[in-house]
Amino acid sequence: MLKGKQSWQFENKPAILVSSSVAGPFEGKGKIANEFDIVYDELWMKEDSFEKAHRLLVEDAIQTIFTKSNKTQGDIQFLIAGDLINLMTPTNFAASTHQIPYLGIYNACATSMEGLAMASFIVNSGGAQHIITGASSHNAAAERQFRYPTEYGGQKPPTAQWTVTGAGFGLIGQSNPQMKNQPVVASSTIGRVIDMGLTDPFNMGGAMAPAAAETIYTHFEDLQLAHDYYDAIFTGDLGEIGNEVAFELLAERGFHITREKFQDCGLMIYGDDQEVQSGGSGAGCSAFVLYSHILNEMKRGIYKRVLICATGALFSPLSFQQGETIPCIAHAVAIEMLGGAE
Amino acid sequence: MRLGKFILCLFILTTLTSCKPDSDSEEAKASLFKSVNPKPVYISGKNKAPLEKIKSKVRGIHEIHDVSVIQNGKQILVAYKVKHFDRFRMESIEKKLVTILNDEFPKYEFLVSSDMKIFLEAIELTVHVQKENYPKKKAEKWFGNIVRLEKEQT
Amino acid sequence: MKKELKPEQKKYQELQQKHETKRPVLANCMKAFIVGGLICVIGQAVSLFYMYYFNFTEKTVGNPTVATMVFFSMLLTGFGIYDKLGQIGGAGSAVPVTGFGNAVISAAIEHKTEGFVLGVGGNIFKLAGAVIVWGVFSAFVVALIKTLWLMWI
Repeated sequence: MLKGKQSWQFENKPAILVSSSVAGPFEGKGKIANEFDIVYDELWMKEDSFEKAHRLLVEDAIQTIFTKSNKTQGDIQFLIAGDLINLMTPTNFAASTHQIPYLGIYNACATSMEGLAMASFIVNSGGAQHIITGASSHNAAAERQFRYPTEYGGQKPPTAQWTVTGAGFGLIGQSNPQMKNQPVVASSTIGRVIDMGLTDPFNMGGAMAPAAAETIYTHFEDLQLAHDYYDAIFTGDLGEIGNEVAFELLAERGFHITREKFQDCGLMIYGDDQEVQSGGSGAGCSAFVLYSHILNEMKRGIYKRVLICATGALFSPLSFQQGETIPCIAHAVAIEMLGGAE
Repeated sequence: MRLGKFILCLFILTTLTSCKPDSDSEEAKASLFKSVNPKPVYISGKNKAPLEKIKSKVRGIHEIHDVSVIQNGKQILVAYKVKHFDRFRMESIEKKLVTILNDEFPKYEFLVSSDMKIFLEAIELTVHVQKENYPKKKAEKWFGNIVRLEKEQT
Repeated sequence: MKKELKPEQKKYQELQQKHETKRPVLANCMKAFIVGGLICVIGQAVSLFYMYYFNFTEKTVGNPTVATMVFFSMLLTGFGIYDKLGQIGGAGSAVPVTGFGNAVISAAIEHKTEGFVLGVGGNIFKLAGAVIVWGVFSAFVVALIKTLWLMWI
């Protein structure tokens, strides 16, 4: 149900029953490599185009959910997913393979949390038993669409980010009151589009930070939570700079949490020796960190309650070249462990 | 597939590098990197020009550090090398050189060139001509080739 | 063309600038000088090679040298080395003709999946096209100005 201005609170506690994550070669050498279900050791993934490889990421992630949950196409009512490439063809084609009724969504890199929020809402209100939701991105396919050809030797500034190759998907369904240690979606906040007039596509973290700060702030306002309610707040893919800026923006508005609790998914994937400039980005970034690392950490009991705020830059190569600014959006989803001590 | 491509590249490179050199004397190789100060050469012609004098005149221009002078009939080829940091003023040096030569030795037709290749060829020709009984006909033909090479554009 | 910024946008951009990692301009210049210089040294070696072993003069050696350098950059691009070089060298690897070759070849590789005619053919000059168009056009303008100038005097 609606709470406050723009938030939903899910009183039926839809749970993330199963999750799956697929990663590319570069991510497979990073800090959280052993938490992924499938790791590909090359970008082509034995397909003949990067777009087909991208589609394979989505197909594999959904297939992994089937195997892990012992369910088939028929048990799933809807698939809510999206990616960044050309009218979302990779996800569309994967949806065609798996034949699940499909809602395609696009909010750039905020797609992951948009999908999770929508899926939770539908499950919460009895609109479906099981929904698969998630997002994915492929480094080479995204580079080609948004920047230069993969092999082009352009110099990236230190503010640039690395589009992750990976997919993260989750199966959302009714939580089982008997079961202990279930991650459930407690609430979510849908963000407004915020445009601070930035135009540099190599500094997306800086452009997206205000949207993240706004959504996080509104989330706490709407749900009237104490500032230290969550064990950790994860921003989607702000990178080093954006994360720093968002933290400062929140501090300016009188929002106080400790610095260590305010993390960024884009900074958790890669090791220090990997050259990714400011951190990871892409629709798959927040998705596969959430559906692998963060959920695992919650199951290990490190976090009880987390807020994930995925951010998206809503621009296209066309709008950027026509001199438009970069409008940004952020959606936040709160996940709690059910059955833990209150 | 990658390995195959790599081997192909190696193959092309080795074929390229194993070509028989066109200039192969020690002097020519040395002249690529330093001054070799070759002797002036007189191939043919009715009156021999004062080649040593011409050479010292050219060397008198302080930007020029190496020069080769070859006479064939009325034509005198002057190939020279310009000091590295004076190469910015290549054209004005050439102009200066041409004026000096034409003023002092009006009887001859001078072909001046700062081109590396012309210098290499001149050295090569010098080396060959100095050998015992190198046929004059051959030397004249070679000289003609150098002149043609010098006039070639792009 | 630039839109008027609202005061809160201006305020945010100032805050953002404070955190933005600056490009290390001086270090980048040094690296560009070294990388660009090395590429030119290789180019010089190639042209000496052609002059020494073949019948090319300084005037005519340009074409085969450029072709060879583009060939080298094609190999480096194909093996995925040139983009790493580009990250280090910046302008130093982009300005020499190898950078031009890299721009052409990377686009060709990238669009191979769309077929040889419309994919490779249509997109091969996606990046380099701008260089060709504006290079030719500015050469034309400069030549025009020079011609008029010489007629004037």
